[in-house]
Amino acid sequence: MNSDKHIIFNEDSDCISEQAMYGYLDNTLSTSQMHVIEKHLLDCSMCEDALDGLSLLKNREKIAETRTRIDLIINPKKSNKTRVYTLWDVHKAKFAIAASVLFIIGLSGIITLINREQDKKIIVENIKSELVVDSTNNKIEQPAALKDEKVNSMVPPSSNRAESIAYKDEKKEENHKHGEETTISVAEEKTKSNFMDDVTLATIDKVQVADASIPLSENEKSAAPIEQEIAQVYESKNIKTKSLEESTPLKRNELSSQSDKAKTSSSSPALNSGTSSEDFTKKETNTNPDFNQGKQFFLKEDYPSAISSFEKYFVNNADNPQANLYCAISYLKVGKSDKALPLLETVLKNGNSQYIEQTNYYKSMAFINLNRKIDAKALLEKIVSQNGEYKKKAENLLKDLE
Amino acid sequence: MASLVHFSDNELVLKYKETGDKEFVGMLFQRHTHLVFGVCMKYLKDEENCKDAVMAIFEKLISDLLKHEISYFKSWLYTVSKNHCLTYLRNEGGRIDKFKEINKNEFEFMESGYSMHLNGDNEKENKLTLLESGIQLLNNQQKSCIELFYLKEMCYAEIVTITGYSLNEVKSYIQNGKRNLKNYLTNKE
Repeated sequence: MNSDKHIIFNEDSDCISEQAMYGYLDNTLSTSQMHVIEKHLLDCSMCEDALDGLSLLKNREKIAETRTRIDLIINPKKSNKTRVYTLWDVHKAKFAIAASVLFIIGLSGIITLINREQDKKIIVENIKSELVVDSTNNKIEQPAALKDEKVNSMVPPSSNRAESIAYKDEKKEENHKHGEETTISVAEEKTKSNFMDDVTLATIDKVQVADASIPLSENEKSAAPIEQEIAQVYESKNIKTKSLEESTPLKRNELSSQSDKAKTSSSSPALNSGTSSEDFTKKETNTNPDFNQGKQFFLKEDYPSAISSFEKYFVNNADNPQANLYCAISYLKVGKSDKALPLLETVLKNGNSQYIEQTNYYKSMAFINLNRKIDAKALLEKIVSQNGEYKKKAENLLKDLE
Repeated sequence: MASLVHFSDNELVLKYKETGDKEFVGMLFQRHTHLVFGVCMKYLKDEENCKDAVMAIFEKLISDLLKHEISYFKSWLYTVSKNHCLTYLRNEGGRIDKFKEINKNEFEFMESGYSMHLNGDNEKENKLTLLESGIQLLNNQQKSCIELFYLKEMCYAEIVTITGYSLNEVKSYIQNGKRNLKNYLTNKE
């Protein structure tokens, strides 16, 4: 019995120890130990009440937490010591910041290198095509709609610089002929930047993963939807460029004239036979200043300005799926998921199959941000069931949600 | 701080009064944290509220220990803790009625709300063994429960199994039987 008392009561207090109380509640004590406790409880109201209360306690860690809080009040020196240790945490935080800055710098460096390599490739391709043109003695005009986005962005090699300047002069004249409002310098700048824009957009999307409020963590593993979209457009352009290079000069002339027509009438079957997003890219980037401004702001991560430009653009072009998608993503970036949702709905209503899956994906992100987890889950499950490009991403988001 | 472990509650109170060093009151409170938490939990029924209440009681302790003469710390702490909870429930409004309701159900088997105190009870317990004659005067239910609990040193669960009474009935018979025996002893003296 004495040994039981020694186990049950606190050493320097006549009260039942915490462990003995838990033992009694969990029924892990011997009958004699239980008897000792019950005998004490008959005489000690505090222990009796405490035991009753502890039987209601679900998380016994709460008592330990309270003890820690009391300890910090009693021993501020200890807490100061703890703070000394937390200085290490501060250092850790600095290291983390430095590491992320280095990561961003490294990433941008890699992307710049990739851009340069791609530029070089395009330059080489351009030289080849120029040589083909020379060899056939046909002074053909470059297919404007496709070429002014890439070819003009290249720095011509010294040997072909004169030809390139001549080509640019021709291009300038051509622009005047078409009566385009944009100045030559702006047009040149635009065409130079267009290809870079595509790559920069990809870069921005990757960088945004680090600080985006929307859950894009899984996007690190694969390109963001917009990035993919741009890549698709770029790829299709590449295919067309290659096919142009392989085609006869006559065909190239035909295509060139068709693309010129497309600029004025926007009804070219050659272009319309492609995806509508290509159409939008070409038409809107060349003609609509609000769309271009919106896109530029988007690329510069100036989302509020991008939203403002796109909203202006929507006054006359409310149904453009690409603009709606850009604007919706901008709203997501500024944390206004509620405003992103109707835009994404517009994209879906548009019915362009190319956008549906990625729009649904962004819609699910908006749902997550709006704490509509059930809707998000349903949509992500739908994406998974469709077994498309976003299946894995959707699965990853679903895992995060669970 | 390790040396404080061997101080009794009253020694810690005295040391705190002498020095005003919070380490003494800290040790005192750490020793009883689970009891204060348990008491608060019984009355407040909410773990987060309990945490806040325990912290408030502790802060009260720091100032009140210096003001009051305390002969028996644990009883005083129990009173402070219980009063804090009842004041909280009273301020919350309505909840006090709930508490009363709960207590009514809990003690429905008790014949009176008379509460036992630890002071001097050990002495009386020793006399219980000499009061077998007094036990014979109890009713059958109280008698069997008192005998099984005090003389055969069985726990409630064992008495429940043997007698077939519910746990609350066993508790009640023991408490009431004990009180009747005390009265008997007082009258004899």
